[in-house]
Amino acid sequence: MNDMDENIIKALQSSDRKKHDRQLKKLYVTVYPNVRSFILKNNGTIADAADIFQDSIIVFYNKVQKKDFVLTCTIQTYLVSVSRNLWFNRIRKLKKKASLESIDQECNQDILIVDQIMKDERNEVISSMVEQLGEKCQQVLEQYYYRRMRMKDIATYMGLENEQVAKNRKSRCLKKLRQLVNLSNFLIRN
Amino acid sequence: MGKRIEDQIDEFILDEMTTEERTQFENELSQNDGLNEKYQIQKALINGINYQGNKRLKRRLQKIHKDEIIEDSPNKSYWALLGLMLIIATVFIGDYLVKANRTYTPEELYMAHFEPYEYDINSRSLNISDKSALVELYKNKKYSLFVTEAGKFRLETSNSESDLLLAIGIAYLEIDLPEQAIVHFQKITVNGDFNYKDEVAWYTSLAYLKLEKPDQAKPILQGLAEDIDADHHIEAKKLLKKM
Repeated sequence: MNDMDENIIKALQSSDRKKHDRQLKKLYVTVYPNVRSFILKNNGTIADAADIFQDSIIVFYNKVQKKDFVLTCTIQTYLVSVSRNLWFNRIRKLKKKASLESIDQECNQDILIVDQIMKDERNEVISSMVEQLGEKCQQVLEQYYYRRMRMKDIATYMGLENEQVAKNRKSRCLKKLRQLVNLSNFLIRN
Repeated sequence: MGKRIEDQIDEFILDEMTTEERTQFENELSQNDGLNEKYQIQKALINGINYQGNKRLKRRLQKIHKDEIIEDSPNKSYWALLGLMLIIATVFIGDYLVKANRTYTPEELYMAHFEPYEYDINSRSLNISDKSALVELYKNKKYSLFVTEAGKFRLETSNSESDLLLAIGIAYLEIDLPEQAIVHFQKITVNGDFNYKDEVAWYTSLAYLKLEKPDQAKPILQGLAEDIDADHHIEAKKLLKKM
């Protein structure tokens, strides 16, 4: 892994939002032209290129937050590879033309994460309930579950007294979300 | 005190258990319907939270795209370029048509084509006399003073050199006395100085334009336009086209 990649990963794993944004911008500006060129050569539009590339960053971001995160190639190679596969998947779904063999297998095992997460109707409903929570609740839940931050770091980040206070807040917010979902008569189990 | 069920489910979903803890929890899940139900609900909520996180990240990325990427769509740039070319072509054609159909006043023609003769002591005169002071006046565009001093100089030295006469004529044109300019140009013709034939013809025609007598300028210009070896041949043709 090169220095630039290491800096990007460290920043994405940190709780510093400014660092986050800086590295995301750097990543975006560096890799996007490659993906854009690939999508345009393969019958896509500029809007497709931007959409696919953003989804590939989301896949990468989710991967980085995982405890067992390992990257076997450069971030650029990874993002281009994920973008290619996401694009082929989309074409296959739209036109049912692209074959599975054409899918690039290089350094991606979890490319379907986005498809699974993004296109789930159930997630859409729960997500709208999350938005009904207060800003602090949304923050603590996102930091703990989405960004996998430790309770200790969440407490520091949110200016809470200690880890236990952060933990209690998370618990209260999750309970609130559960109630909201129940109130909407939405059957989570289905 | 044992861990809360909610925390255990979190640890299981977030993969924070040891292998042993994990196996034990999986066994409990398969045997305890109540726990399994709680697990399913919490898993769905966490998926929803992650979904929301991805949506927020997507919005941030869209903003980065908007702020940092300058998209150069081939179609857009093609049409923009074509549009620009059309505008330029329209402007040029319009300008050309306006100019082609436009009639110029003699004064405008004179202004567009008049350039003073480069009078110097090294010009065509064979007799290099002491006229450097006069040349300086001419070069410094002090035409009124030049005309006066040149008149005195001619009287004192009986100088009738064609280049001096031509310079005086040009100076008269510059001070808006075209009749006097023509008188001096005609003196060169009377002298029979063949070397200045074309210059005399050209500036005489301009003097007539300045006098707003294009009919008198025209035959002189036609003479220059027909003679391909003449000085001012091309300028005369251009000027005639505008008349």
